[in-house]
Amino acid sequence: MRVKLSKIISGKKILPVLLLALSLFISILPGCSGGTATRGWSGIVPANGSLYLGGMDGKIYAVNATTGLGKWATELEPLPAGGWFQPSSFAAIYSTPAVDGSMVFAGSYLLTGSAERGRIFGLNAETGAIVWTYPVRGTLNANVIGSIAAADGIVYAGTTDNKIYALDATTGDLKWKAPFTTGNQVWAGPVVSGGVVYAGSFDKKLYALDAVTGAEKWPQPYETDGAITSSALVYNGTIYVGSYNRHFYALNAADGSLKWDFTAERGFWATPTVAGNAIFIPCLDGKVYVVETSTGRDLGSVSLSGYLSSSPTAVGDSAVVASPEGRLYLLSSTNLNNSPFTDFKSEIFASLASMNDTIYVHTGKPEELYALDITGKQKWTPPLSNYRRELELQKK
Amino acid sequence: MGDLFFQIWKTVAVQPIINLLLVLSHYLFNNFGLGLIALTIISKVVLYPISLKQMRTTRAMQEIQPKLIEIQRKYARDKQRLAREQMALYKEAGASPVGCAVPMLIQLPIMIALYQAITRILATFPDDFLGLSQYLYPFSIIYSKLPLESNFLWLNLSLPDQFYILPVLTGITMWVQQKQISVPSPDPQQESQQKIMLWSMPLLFTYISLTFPSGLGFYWVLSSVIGIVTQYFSSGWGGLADLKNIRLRLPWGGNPAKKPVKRPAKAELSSPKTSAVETVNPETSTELKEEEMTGGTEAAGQGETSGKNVADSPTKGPAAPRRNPRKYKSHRSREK
Repeated sequence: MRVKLSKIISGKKILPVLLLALSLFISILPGCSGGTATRGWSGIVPANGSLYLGGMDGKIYAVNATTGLGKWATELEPLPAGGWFQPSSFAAIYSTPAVDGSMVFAGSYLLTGSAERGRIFGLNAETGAIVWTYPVRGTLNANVIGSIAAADGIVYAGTTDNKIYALDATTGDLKWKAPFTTGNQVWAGPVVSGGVVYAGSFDKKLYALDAVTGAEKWPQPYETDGAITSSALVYNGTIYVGSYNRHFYALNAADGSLKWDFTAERGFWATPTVAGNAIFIPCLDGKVYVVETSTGRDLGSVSLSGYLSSSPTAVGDSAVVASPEGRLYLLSSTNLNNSPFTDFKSEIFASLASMNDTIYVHTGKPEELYALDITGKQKWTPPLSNYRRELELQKK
Repeated sequence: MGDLFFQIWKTVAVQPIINLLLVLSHYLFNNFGLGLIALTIISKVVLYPISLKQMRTTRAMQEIQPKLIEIQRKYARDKQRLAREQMALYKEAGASPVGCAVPMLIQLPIMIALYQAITRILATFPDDFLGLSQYLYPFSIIYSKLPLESNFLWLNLSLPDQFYILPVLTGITMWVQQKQISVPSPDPQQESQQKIMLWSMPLLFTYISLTFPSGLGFYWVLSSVIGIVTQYFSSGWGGLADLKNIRLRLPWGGNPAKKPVKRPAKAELSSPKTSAVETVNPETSTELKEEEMTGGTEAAGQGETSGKNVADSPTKGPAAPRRNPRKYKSHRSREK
């Protein structure tokens, strides 16, 4: 051992040692932050007897909601060929799609070197064929991260170039004179209710825009204390929205005035949900805060595990909440039980969805789609991995 | 075990850097670029004791070069004895060839932590920004700043430099710093290893800068520039003096077809400050003889470039003394 050390110290082995350290450094660098991992956390949209979701492989999938069989898969952004002198590319889908009639709308996330090259897509809900893209040629020079909204023949999307777009659902043409520009990136998906689009921005403001013209509806946007990263919830004339700066707000939908607010230990990322007479608000501090819908009265909170970023879903009078480690909890205003009713042991960041008392869960690492009831019993075999294999075989 | 390591890493390395960067950016006009500059300076100050040790090691290595050459010459046929003697000399002088590389190794964890801090703060990927919440100290000042403005100068610090300026700067500054701290070795194997390091490190970091957020490359450039300046005030240009000599040789370099041959001046054996690189000029052998007879101090005394030029000491080991001293002459002498 002494000999070896002396050899190293005398410089004989210093080069291998340094090169080893550097190799370790390079391999650790992306690994620690997930730089090489697949990404994305698209939620699920149940509609027309199908489930639509964005996969972590950059494809939009349609799955039969009853049988769990794959119907189609469409790749939004084929990656350019790589190479030593080509900038690295990365494609994903963070945005939850939207369905309106016979169309599915989706936003893509594509990073090529330092260029953001996302687009907005209109797809045929039955076949998955791309009907239109926005822009028609080229890309947005930005990405779509927040969920897409669609109502009355108009598609709404927020983008990382600080804009909120309104597009014709049939053609993909711009509906407003120009996209609405905020002071910073828009990661929070717009929400449409009563002819008004509500959208939060990293500029800490919540905007209320006319759904048809894009004109501002409130005298001034509501300014919070931190970046708004999640979609708002609109319920009974009140807007509920959390900010990254640990504050949660209830605003009057008519004029944007503050009804009440509270401060948590960390920021808010998930969109809250209403179940029964309560609003369930997951927070990045690992707690779910529960408030009464009519009065805003504090009904308590429950500590779950991890930082809660997945938006919950309502089943009857209860809310189903997911933890990032893959546990599902069933909470009601009268029973804030922190025992999970099922555990996928697989990370969950995507929003949950439900239809006819069936809960749909999109997990990552390994990525899968699950359908289960409130007892945790699965309704069909998780389809994504099988369907992908099937598609690969068809390709060959 | 992995979780424990991750927790320790997060608490000790990444979390403090993230929060410090946010606070610095807050007080520096909400500018992340300025925050990064301040953080680089702070990290250099914190690492100064290690850097100082490395600089001293570099200087010590330079100072023992004549003795190393002597030992190499003396024990050329007995490798084991040679290694023992070298070790004893290193110990006696408080020098070590590893000393120059240690700061780089120590900086690796800082660089990894900084990379994670930058990607998270600037929200390079949505996942990073989501995870950032777990790293923040509970101060309003920190939460209210997020996400920070990532544009600085021509750069979007969260993405690679699209004009490739920063990767080039990273490579150049890193090469300069490596060259500056490189210590010539009488061992040809070590010498060639150093040469590989001199080129491989800058090339590697240039490549990394091409693909990683430019905030990281910006840190490397700043860090290298500060390192170069600090090293200069500690031990001069070090290995960079080679370049100065190359420039000086060009106008008076004698026969360009003739390959320059180096050998230590006599004075070099006694003092590193008086070591000199000398160029062959067969036409002036008599001048050299006279110079040697007067102690060879002229070249050493005049040569402010050569005074720092111990890095140019012969690398051929025992072969150097066999050369005919009549064939050597200082270009300084020729200037006369």
